[in-house]
Amino acid sequence: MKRFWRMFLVVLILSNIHGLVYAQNDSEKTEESNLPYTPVITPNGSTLPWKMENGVKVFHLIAEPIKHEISPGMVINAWGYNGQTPGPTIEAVEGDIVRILVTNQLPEPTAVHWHGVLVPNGMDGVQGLTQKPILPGETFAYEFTLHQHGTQMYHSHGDEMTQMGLGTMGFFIIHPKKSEHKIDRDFAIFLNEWFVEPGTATPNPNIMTDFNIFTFNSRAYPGTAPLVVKKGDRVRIRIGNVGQESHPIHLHGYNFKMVATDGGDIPESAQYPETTGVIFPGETRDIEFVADVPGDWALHCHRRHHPMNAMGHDTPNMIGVNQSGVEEKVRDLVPEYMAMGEKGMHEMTEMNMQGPENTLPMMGGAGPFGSVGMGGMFTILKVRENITTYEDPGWYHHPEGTVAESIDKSQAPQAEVVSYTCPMHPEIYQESPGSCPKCGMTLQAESVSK
Amino acid sequence: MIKKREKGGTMQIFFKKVTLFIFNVGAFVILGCGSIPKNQDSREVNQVLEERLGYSRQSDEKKAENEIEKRVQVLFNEKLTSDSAVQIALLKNPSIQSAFEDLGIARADWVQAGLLKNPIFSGHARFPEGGEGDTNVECAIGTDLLDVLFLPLRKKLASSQFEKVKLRVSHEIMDVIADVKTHFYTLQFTMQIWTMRQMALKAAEISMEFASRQHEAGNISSLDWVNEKVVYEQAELDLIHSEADVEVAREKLIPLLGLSGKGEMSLQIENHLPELPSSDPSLEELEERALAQRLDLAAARKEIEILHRSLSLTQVGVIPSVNVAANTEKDSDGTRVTGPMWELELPLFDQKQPAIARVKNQIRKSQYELAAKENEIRSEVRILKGKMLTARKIVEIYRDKMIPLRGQVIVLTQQNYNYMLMGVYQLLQAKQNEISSQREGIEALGDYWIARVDLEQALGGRVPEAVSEKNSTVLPIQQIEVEQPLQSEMHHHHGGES
Repeated sequence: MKRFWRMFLVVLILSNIHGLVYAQNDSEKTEESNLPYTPVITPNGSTLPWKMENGVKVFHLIAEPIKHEISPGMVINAWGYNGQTPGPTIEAVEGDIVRILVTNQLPEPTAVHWHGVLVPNGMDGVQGLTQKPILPGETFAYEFTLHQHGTQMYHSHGDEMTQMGLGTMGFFIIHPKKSEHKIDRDFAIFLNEWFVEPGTATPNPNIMTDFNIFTFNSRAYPGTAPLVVKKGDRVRIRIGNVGQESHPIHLHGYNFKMVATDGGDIPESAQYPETTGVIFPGETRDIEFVADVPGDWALHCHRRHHPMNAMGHDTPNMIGVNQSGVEEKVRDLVPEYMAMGEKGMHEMTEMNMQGPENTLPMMGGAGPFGSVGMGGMFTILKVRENITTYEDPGWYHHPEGTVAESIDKSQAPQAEVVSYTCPMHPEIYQESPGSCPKCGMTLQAESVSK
Repeated sequence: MIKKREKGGTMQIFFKKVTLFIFNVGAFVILGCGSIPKNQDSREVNQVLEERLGYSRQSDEKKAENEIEKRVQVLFNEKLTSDSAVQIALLKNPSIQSAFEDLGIARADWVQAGLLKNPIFSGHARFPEGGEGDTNVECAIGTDLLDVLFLPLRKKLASSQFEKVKLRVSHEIMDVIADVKTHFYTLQFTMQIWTMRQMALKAAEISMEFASRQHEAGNISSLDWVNEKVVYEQAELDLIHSEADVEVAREKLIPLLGLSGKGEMSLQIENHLPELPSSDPSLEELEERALAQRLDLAAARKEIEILHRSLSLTQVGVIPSVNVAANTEKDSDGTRVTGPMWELELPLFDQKQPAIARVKNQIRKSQYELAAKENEIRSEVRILKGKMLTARKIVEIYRDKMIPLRGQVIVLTQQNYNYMLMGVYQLLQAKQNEISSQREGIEALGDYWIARVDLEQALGGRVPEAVSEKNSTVLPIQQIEVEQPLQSEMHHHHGGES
């Protein structure tokens, strides 16, 4: 007990010094210029404010049901923290003493687990195992010293299927006391999957594998905010996952290195260049690169159906099915009917038809060259020269002659046409194999240029 | 001699008076029977039909056959409605015509009842044996006096019987009209259902077409394709069944319209049922209305009246016959004697008690039958009222809820289709479900109209719409005073009839 008080005192003094040094003016507002680190940007999200109280950084999380917009046109009944999902990003510095108050405004008990953060066992937040449940209406205080740095997470650890299925998670980022190198733009993207029956608003927490909405920071494209950086910026993207599936996150235009896991920094000797990093459930990964090539670069999960919104699994396969003639007949019975699917799904993105309420089209998003035809886990890294703010700069203006485009037909390579002819009767030509009508010999294929 | 002559003179006067009476009565009857116009009967029946159902035959026998044919042709030129079908049936249906002929038969019976028995002229001649003296000749003319006395009673009885026939004829015609309407509505709704089955077949055909093309493109298995074909064939079978239903309904209607079906006229009918009317007929005091209106009940009551009359006749007829005659005889000595003759049966052994008892039993039997019929009618009216109201509720649910909901399902399925969340088969299935609901709605509407006809039939006449005033809804009919069976039973025990 004595030991505890002694520790407490030391920590108190240390944190006071911290508070004096790092939060000089007003501990209520975290001012970027005063921070010893580049603050993390949570696209479509925010950072949790904190107060210094006797050298302790005090945060307050409120777990509660919320209305959350997945993308314009779709609002879901989610559970989150402080009005958002993912909850606001907690940022602190290695060595900080943090006190996190958690108020439960959910209809059922909860507990918050500090995922990857090295804490005393009683602060680990496992409902029933290391603490009593936080009953609805109660506020619990978690307090511990941060002994590490890295990208960690927090999430509810009670009735996880429901609470996490509805969005109760967030980032817990611990900056090192002293950075090896300066990061210019530090982004945090939480991966998540949901099942929201088309036409409904409440994610179904009972679904285990068959998800239909895939999100970056609980937003689906085209609702995802772009990552805006200046040319030459050193960029870090922290990616966290407490969902059900692994996600191969792929960045266009760059090689990057994976510099850290949730367990700590990866030694430089163990880093290697790559374009896709897989983030498994329960993991975080930090990737870094220098943004030296301007442009609008796609960043997305590489599972085909993840950068995509809800689509039917049992719809008939219409690829290559000629619907001419039948389409009109259907319209006699159902006047709004449009034949779709014969030539793929792209035409759907251009039709702009009415879908079920509160449902996103399978794919869409207006781009500078037409429909982007994406959804879900998709966003854009916008690298620009000569920008003064990190506001969305709009679409990239490509230098002349640097965009692929259609070439003159006369310049196009000639398509090879195969025709069939009879060795005995060269006047016989036909486009399909067969036998000669004159002598019955098997026709031989020959290539001709049209 | 003088005294004798005087006596003979009195007799002569009496004889003359009797003779005159017989003659006069005969003349009255002969003149009387020709004095009522023949058409009055059918006019009366027409009037009943007009009052009860709003239809009239609009025909009298004077009109030529081709006149009727012309009118029928005019009705056939328009698409038939239930009303015009009834008009045609009234003009052409042989059963209705045959019922009208019953009126003539009843009238003949009635006239017959008003005729006296013909007087009997009898005589004999006897020749003297041995050639002496004149031939004895005796002549008599006589008639049954009671026949003359009973004539008014008999006529009353016959007139009641005639009334009964009129009621029965009207009732039969109303039954035929109800039949026409029922079969007309049946034809309409089977035709409508056939249209829905055609639509269902079309939807199934499109599904099959999609499956066929998907199969051709290598996108579905033969199993799925064949399953689609099975669905189509089922729809085809449904259509064939429904086609047969239309044929049966048509064939049932044709003879009711008085057609032979040899193709003399093509049957163009309004191919959909009338919409559900906004209100039902007034359902107030339906049972009382039925008891007051039913013509078969009126006929049954008439029958009791007839039995009462025949009882009177039987009771009066305790003395079965009194024959009076005038007799004249020329004796063989040349003297002529003339005088009246009478003959009467003495009711010593047979006082007609069994016959009287029999009629009394018949009266009570008829009264019990009437009571049973009244209870049956009450029950029938309640059942049919329930059927009609249930059918209305069902039609309203289909019309106001089910079919709009099915429409909404199509719109929402379409939205899911638009976002590639559902496929064309689900869209077509949503349409199929809508078609099924429409078909079921039509079946319920058919049930409604047929229940309404049945109810009208059970009530013995059309019921005014609910909006009309309560008091004016009961049609005035001639009430025949008949004692309630159980009361009359008591009455019979306390006193006799005369």
